[in-house]
Amino acid sequence: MRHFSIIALLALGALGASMQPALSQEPIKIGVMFPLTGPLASQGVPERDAIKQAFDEVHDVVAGRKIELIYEDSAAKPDIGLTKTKALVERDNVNLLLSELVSSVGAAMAPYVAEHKIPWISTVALASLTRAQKSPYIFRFVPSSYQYALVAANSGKKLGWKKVYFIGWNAPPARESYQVVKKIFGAENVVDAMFPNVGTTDYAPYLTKMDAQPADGIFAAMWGADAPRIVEQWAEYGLNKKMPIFGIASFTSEELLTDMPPQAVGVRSAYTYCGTLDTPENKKFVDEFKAQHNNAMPGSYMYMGYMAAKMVIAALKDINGKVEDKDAFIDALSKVHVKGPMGEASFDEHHGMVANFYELTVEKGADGHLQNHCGQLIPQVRDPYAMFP
Amino acid sequence: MNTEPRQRNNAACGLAAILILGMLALPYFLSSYYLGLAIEMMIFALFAMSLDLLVGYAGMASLGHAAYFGVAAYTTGLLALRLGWNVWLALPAGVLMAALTAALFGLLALRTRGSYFLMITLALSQVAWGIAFGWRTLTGGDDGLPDVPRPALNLPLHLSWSLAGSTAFYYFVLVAITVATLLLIRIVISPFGFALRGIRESEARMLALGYNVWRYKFVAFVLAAVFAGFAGCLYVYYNRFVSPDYLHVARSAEVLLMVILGGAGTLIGPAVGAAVIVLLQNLISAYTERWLLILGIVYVFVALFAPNGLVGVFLEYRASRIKRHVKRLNS
Amino acid sequence: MAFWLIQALNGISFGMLLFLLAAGLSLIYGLMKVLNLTHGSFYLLGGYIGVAVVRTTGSFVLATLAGAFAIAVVGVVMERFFLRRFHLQELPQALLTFGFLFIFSDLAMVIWGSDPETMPKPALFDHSVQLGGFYYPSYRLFIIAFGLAVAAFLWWLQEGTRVGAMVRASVDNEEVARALGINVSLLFSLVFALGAFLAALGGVMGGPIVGVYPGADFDVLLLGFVVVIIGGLGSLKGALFGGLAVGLLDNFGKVFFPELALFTVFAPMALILAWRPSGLFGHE
Repeated sequence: MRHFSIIALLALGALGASMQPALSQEPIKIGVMFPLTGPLASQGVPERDAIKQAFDEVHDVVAGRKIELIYEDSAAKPDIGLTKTKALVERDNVNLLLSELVSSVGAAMAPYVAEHKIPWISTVALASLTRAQKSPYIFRFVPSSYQYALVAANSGKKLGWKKVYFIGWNAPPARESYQVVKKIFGAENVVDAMFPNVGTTDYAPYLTKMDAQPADGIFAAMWGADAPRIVEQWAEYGLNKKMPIFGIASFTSEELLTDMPPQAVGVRSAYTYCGTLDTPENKKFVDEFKAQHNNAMPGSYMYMGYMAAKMVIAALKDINGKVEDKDAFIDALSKVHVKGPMGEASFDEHHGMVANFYELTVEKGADGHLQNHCGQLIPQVRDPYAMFP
Repeated sequence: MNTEPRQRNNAACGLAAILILGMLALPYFLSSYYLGLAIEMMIFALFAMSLDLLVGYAGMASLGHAAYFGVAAYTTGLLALRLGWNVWLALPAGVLMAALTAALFGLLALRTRGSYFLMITLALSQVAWGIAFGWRTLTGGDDGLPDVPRPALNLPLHLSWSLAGSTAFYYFVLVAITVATLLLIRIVISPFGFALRGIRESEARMLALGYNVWRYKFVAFVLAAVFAGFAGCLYVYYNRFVSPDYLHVARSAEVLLMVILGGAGTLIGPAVGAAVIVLLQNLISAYTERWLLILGIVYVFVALFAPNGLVGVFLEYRASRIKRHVKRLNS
Repeated sequence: MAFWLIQALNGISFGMLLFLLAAGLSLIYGLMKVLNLTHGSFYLLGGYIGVAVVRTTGSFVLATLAGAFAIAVVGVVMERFFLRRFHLQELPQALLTFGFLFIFSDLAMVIWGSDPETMPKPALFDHSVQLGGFYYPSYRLFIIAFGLAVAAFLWWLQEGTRVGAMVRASVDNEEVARALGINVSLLFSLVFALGAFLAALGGVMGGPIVGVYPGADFDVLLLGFVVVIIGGLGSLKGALFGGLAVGLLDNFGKVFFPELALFTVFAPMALILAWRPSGLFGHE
């Protein structure tokens, strides 16, 4: 039983931190939690930095109030993410959350956030956040899986593809994407759909299976380190000469291109961010990001984190910084329209993202590095709630 | 000399009483976050103590103990979420499922010992993890089961006590862990507990003495799973969420490290180890991303300077003092 | 037919990487009874060093040697200054090697960042060959040949050399070996270095196939365990057959039961253990 005394002592020691007096004009506290360790840190860390970049631009002051960003690491694990969210809300008393990109962490956070009525602007591509798990406090500044897969499937159709393969993570975003591809192409025209686990290192068995019965193209729905890996092996097995890849969502995002082999030239996708787009807003965003990241290009998640922060700043300005009035804040946030690197963006009636998409093709840039060619603009894409309820 | 153990026992009882009072008063001092942390520490303390029964007392180092924690958590979570079972049914069902799983796994694992036991328990727990991960329709796969409801205690005479609030839930966990801990202590100091120590020291001698060693080990294996399962059930009610991570090998390793860090074979040691690791994970990570590094350094330091665990240091210090005392008396 | 051949080659080439990893794990256990949880880190660090060297010098051979020898040195340091103090003490060994796994994992993140790295293939094997209508990467064929060569070398080392004889004597009876004047302490360091060397070799050679990324240390450690469980601890033959078995199980599991990936590896492993508790080639 003696262990209780140690717990009690440690807990009492921590007490001081939890009993800070409330001030009238204290800073606006924003909880920023991303996977900062583990395999998904390659997206979590730069997205967090991009959010910081947006607040740096206004010198951490909005409507006369100081902004304080409090960072946490979800380690891409749902139970750790949930514990850390509780820490941000109950220990640090954050006013809002600008957090997370991992779907399993997002699913675990949603009930807690709704119950505690904490405004949460997420970049978790879970369709359920604006459907089954919907709450007035949850905003999703990332396309839902139905939203981005529909754009991708329609673009594939436009290329004249009839018979296709689908390969994607054994996780909801890829499974929902498959529903879309099946609907657009017809179940009989999907030769096979395969769902390897997240973090699969060896795609050879799947690729060999596809090689045995060629189709017009492959829809690939995996991200992080897995996207460059499958492209590498796809080229290795000579499939690049037989079946093109259409990547779903951030498959060809700029931070992943640095790890792709030269044969990735020609791989397509259709998503919210194109690093080479020539607008003043994008140039500013890219230059600042590169300056702070050893000349690395920002990718789609960095763009979305940056924009989500800009939307928050705009909403805070609209309510004159009075973030304690949560209803006023979420009302303002649901109405903001912000012009950013890719043009205007806003939230729909369920708090899902509305933004411009571009058709992207990987090309070799002037400096020899891979980059996205910005193709056709698909303006103001909305989540297809009616088609995929 | 005869009275000394009794005196020490009285002192321990007194200390325990003060502790319980302190724990009872905790919600009046702590914010809901730190109360949550205290709940988490208690749950992992029980989880670590359950493994100590195997590692410290029976000498069987398992690297798959999270399987029972997770199986119970999934069972309770599913029954509460899908069938709306109340806590009086869902929690025992979870514990029972953990016991059944352990009985099945035990039949295989107990054919081995030493490093092979370590690895077969790991393998079996990965099978359980594979099922939780792959059987999406039942378990929700990678995303787990969110939104498990906090229970209400439906007592006789139509009394209902909702555990939704953090203070109420804290007391619920406090009572549950206290009862479980007392049971564990009772097991450890029973003849059964001493037989386990005997098996740890020398199986051959226990066999020669006529003990059915296999049966003792099997019962210990299932009992350890029962307490781990109980901890898992409490954890799913606390987190209101269950995912395959609950039974991943990383969690099994973590709980084994809690046991070794605190000091195996002492019950209290693993509880301390659990508290330290939960605190490190939650408090350090607020200040630095490098918490894995810090945790690793802590492990290495403890291995180098306190190979018998944190509590081992204390026990050695006390033993050396007693020895000096005895020497002085003799001279 | 060609389809089956290709799929079998996929499994065998992956199995050879697992063999490199598991051989060290198994050798170390066989001699010192240490279950080295840091083994995954050796793989990861070897891979990172390899990538760094190939980026600066462009030489795959140099990268392989640099990665493997650097990690062998790390292994010797770990054995001499840390593990040696806990001979035959299982629990502190577990705490220590797990601590180093965490430390190396985080240090790698500090030094090389969190982006996944891909090791470029050596120019000689950077093309595909035609096999019955399929393209097959020649690098994978090279991995198979290389793995077999390492296996043959290790077998010769163990069975045909004086050092091997001394190791075998020490495995059988350490006390007697010491009494015979064998420098067991030196052998421990040598074998630990060799184990680390092989794991790092796996990291560099595996780089072009599976990549080098944060978390790879844990992933490969788990697979390495599965291999030695199936093959039996302490047995070179076990590591080879275990590696091939896991490689093939993993590959055909993905082909036939894509939803059950990993489960198709773990379930047979549990069955094998139930049948032979000390693995196919192990002896208690």
